[in-house]
Amino acid sequence: MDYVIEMLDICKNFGTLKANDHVTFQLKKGEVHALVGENGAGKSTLMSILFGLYGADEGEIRYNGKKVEIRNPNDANRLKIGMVHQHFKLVDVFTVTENIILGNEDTKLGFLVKQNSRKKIIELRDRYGLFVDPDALVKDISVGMQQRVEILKMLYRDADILIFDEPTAVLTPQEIDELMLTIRNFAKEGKSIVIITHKLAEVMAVADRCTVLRKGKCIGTMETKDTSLEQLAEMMVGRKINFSIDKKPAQIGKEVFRAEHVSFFNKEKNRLSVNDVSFHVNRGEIVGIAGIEGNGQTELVNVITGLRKQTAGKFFLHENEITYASIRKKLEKGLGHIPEDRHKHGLVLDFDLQNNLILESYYLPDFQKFGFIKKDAIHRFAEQLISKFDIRSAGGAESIARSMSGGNQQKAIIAREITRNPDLLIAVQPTRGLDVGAIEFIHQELLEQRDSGKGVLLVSLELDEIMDLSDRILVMYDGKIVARLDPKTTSFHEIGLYMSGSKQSEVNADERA
Amino acid sequence: MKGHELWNKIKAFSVKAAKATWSFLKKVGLACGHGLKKFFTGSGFRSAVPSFLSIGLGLVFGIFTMFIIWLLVRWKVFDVVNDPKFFLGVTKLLMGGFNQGMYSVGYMLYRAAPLILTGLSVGFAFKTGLFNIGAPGQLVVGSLAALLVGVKLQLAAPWHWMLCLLAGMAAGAIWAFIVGLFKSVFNVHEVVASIMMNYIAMYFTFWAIENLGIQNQFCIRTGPNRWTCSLAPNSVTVLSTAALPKGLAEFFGGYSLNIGIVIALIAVVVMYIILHKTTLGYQLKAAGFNREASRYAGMNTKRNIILSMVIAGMLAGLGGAVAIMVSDKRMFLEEGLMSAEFMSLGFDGISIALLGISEPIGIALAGLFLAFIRQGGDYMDLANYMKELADVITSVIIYFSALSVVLYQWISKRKAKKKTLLKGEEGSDER
Repeated sequence: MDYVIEMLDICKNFGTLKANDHVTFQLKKGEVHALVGENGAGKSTLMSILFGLYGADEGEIRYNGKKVEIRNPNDANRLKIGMVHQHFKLVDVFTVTENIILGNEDTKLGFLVKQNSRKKIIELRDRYGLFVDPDALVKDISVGMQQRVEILKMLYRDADILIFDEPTAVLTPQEIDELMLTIRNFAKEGKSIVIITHKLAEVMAVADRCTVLRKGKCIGTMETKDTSLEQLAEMMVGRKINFSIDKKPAQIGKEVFRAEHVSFFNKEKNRLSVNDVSFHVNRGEIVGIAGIEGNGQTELVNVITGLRKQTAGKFFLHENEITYASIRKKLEKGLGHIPEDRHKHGLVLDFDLQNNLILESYYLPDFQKFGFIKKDAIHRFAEQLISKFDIRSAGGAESIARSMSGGNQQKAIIAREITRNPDLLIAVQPTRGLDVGAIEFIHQELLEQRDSGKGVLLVSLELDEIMDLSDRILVMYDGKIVARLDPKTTSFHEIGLYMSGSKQSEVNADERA
Repeated sequence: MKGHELWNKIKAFSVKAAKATWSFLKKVGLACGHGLKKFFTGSGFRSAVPSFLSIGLGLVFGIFTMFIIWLLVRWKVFDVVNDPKFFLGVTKLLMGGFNQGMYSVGYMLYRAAPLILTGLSVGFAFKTGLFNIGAPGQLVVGSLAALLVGVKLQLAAPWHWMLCLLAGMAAGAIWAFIVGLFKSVFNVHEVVASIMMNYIAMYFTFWAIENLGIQNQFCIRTGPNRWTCSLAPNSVTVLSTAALPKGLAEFFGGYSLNIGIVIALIAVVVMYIILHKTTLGYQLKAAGFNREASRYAGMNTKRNIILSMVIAGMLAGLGGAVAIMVSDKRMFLEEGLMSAEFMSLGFDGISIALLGISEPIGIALAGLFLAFIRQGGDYMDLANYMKELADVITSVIIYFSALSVVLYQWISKRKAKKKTLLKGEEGSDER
């Protein structure tokens, strides 16, 4: 057989959890092989075993038919296996060259010799079209370029087997296209490539074969051309899923929220994170804010909700100014907030579920009398929400939030926010890190809010989510709104150009404001 | 005939009564059993396990030390006047507050009152996410305020000592308020501010005792009906109307037990209710676990920081007042001695809060335990051991319980890490 890597019957347990349960994975020479599955399916674990980060409990690894032991990443390097992690392992204050040679330096009498390395890097860069300045500091270059540095790092070590862990998560659509091209080039040269992903469209576009994992088990391996998106999704989730979101036409009502010329100067980063942003949200619509991470979306939401103080600008919630209102006033006047970081802001992880469900309403007469907590009322309220939103946990209302799964934690937050019946619901990355079932549920809930005449502001890094749900799309780049688009007429390509800042339109003033 | 009927009636009644009693007892028993089961399997008990373990380990360590000392003396490594008696020493130590029956129990309870109050002060602040290392300072100003009121004012008995207690609480509260204000407005860490406030409290008290005329008069009879009085240096006592009443002293061997322990236990109950039954406690705990989340939920975190410091300061100040409002015992102050003793009372609060896992009930038990073991230490003199061994043992216990907290965190972190490695397949999200 012409398998370059075979992982046979791999088992890996973490405590009682079976991360990999008799998984067999075979990589042919010169192919692009996608490893797909939901969060927690065991994809990264399997590749970490191949890369020597973990040892397998059972099973064996064969390299060109011979049994090998990979005890650490150095062993993997020796076998010419390279990996690009989802979170780049780069030193910010080093140059590109220094980062690439790190751990594999040329020295003369104990002194570092960079010239030859730099030459080799430039050669590699030109050969594969991975354009990046070898003398730039890593902190100064874009995320897309940092990824190229990671790829160059593998090539510099003459890797033949390249593993990419969720490579597209941080890229714009254009950058994704480029990356796919690069990957195909590698395959043509005879390198073997593994892509870990949960985005099926990418699998169909680039992979020759794919292996599906679900809950630690190998569901199957097949040729991409013999399968379909729907079939893959079903294998991945274990049931049929509905791709097209059932979206009724929007019944757009009166304006519910308006932001006027909002700016925020971030003292820690010493830059204007939000720069003169104006927009509005109407009843019965979802306004999506797209953009690459770190372009001011987080800060914008923080000043709207009151977690940080804006430097300039005004906010109105149904024509009442709430610019200087306290967080509680804002919440009482009809703001709901599904925060970006559910562990930092959304939940008190050491509280039980019921206490988390009243986090914003504990002081209302429903839950207290003369300052004494009504335990029974809280419990009843929690039970209602648990059954209505299907929040699952081991101990019901008494289970500690920390012990719950991410999806159910998020459900709890959404239950809490929606039950408060806000006029404007701000949802930031509401489906981050969740499995398909939970994502479907959350999308449905957001649409339901829209259809019941509420305004929804959706901030997400997932372009699919923005495109699927939004009635209007705003694109943020470098703290500004650079485009106001209609999802029906725009394309991924167009949004991508705006997101990367290569296209700008003069739309900074809200069309209505 | 009548007698027979009556007999039947009595029989029927008694059967009924017996049945009712039986079912009542059964219910009570079941409830107790359930309660006990819940108690032992509940998270409260489980989180107290490290404390019990460290107490055990600390005692073992102490006894082992005593044994080593005994051995060394036996082998004539040290030359001592009085040979330590190992078994007697261990007995005295472990008998603790029971060495002299009711008398020593009373003394132990008397001792425990201020310990419990300062423990509550630190523990409450812990629960709300603040480290009140300022308890010593708050305690000292509390005792100073109680002393001032207790010496300078002339009032009838119940009002006088009640006013003293209030003065102590108010002074402690003000001292802590300053720290809370600095934290919430200028973002000065409470530990830094507290430590400085401790020094200010200490030196301020030195100055106040010398210059505000609250020292005891020291009088000598110099002739028939002639007394020469002068200020006794560094010696202070409150007026008898300001001393805490000794409600149960008769029962406890007529010694020093006053209502301090009752005040401390009331404080325990009040703190328990505040922490677990009120919206205030809910807010403060939320802020203690996750300040960002409490801010997100619209709670006034700045006000909460100040409020929680003020409550903590009140408790410490009350502890100081309780400690000083004693009538027949003079607190001698050689240069700085009283304050040092009082300061250490404040620091004991930290140990007690740690051992009592910051829960009011746990703190009450830990305070009693500390008083118990110190009492035992006092009696070890009889076996020719130094009473400071008790302090060694408590220190070791504190070390163990601090270590167990760290170990526990380390273990749960490792568990969590393994979990996130799994969940975080996609890496990112479970931060």
